Amino acid sequence: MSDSNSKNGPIPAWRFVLRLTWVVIQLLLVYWLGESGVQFVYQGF
Amino acid sequence: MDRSPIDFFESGFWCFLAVAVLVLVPIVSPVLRKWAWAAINLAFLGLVLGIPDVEHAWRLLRQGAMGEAAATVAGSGLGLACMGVLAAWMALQAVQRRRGNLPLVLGGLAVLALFVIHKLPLQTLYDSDRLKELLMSAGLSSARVQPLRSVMVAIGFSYVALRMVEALRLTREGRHPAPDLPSTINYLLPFHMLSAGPIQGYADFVAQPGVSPPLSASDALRGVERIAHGLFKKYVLAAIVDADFLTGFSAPGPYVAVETLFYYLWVYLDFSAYTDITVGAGRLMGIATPENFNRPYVARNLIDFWDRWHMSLSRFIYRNLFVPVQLALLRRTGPQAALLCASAAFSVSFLLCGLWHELNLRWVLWGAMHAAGLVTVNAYRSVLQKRLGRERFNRYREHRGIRLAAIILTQVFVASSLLVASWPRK
Repeated sequence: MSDSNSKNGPIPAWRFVLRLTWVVIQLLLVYWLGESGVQFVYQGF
Repeated sequence: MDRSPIDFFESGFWCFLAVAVLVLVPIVSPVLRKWAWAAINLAFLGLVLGIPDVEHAWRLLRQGAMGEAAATVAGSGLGLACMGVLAAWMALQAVQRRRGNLPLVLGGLAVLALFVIHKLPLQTLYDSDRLKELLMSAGLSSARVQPLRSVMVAIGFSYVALRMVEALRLTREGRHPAPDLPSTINYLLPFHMLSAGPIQGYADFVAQPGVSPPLSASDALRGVERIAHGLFKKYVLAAIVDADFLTGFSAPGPYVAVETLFYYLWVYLDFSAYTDITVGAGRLMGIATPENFNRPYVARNLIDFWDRWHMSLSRFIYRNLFVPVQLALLRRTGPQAALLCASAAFSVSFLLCGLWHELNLRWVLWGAMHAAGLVTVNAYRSVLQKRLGRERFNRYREHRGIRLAAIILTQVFVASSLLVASWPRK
């Protein structure tokens, strides 16, 4: 196992919230940038 | 490489994942869990491949046309996949009974024949009059082969074939019992590993616990985190690299060199994203799913690179090709020719690895490049160790400048090999 995700054990509450927030941000970025956003970034260059 | 038609923007995969988590996690009976997991895998195949027209088959059955009814069921994608799994299960059972080598040889040849049908462009097969005649006489008309190929593409047959080879070998050697029917389905066709592997070792599959530990909130977050990370890599990072830096090697001049590096980056982002999604899904369901990448961009030589890149494939090659070839040669030559034996084993392994990716000259060349690189690294290391002695050799390895140069050289070499394999056909 290569990444930090493979570590086991409970995650402290504040880190849990922080990591969950990052998950939500990533998913929102995928939703917004995934289909049309790439084209937008491309045009920006 | 195979890319199954799973679109992660479609809801099908996620619905199945949610159902699989809800069904599998609470089950405490290993037998029930095995069957439930098999049912989920088959149901997913039904979604991807299409289910048989049961109503029509039933009508035919009532009219007494049993043959036609069976053909209707078997003619669907799911029907073909089920027949394939059934054949695989029967082959493994026969190999376990050890009635000579015939079942093993037949099983191996069947996997090889299907692999060739899967990998060779259909037009190539039917362009040659002789081959066409041969295929037609074997009952393999173009119309018959096409549905079979569609199924093989959808299930990622390249990966299924390697899993089958390993199960055949370990069963034949008596190291592990042949799987029962649900385990055959679960080992060969796990729905979350269909898109791009990883290639789970049969020993790892057998060793995993029958029931997964309870899914805690922390574990669930780790699984979801991994999936989100994979989606972000694939649909944002890899997509940006693709849209902004890749031209399909059509840009003129020295940009080819820049694009080669970006292409390597894109392959890493896209492929490792699949692994992230798969490992995250496996974690949520409590299904052991092997890792495939471990920071390959810091590999300092090709041996190190193959310990970090597509690890499930390199470990498969090590277990099933490199070690058997090396041992067979060492038995003949003795330990004095160890370096030569390792070089031959690298060459055989990576030429076949190239052919596994695609049956064409480009990938043979890719395999030859990697084989030559691995042989060189191994020989260079051996010479350095002899000349410098252990202490100076370790100091040499720890030198920061040398390490950085080695990493850059390795990455450029790997990127160049991808260019050889992916240069556009005119």
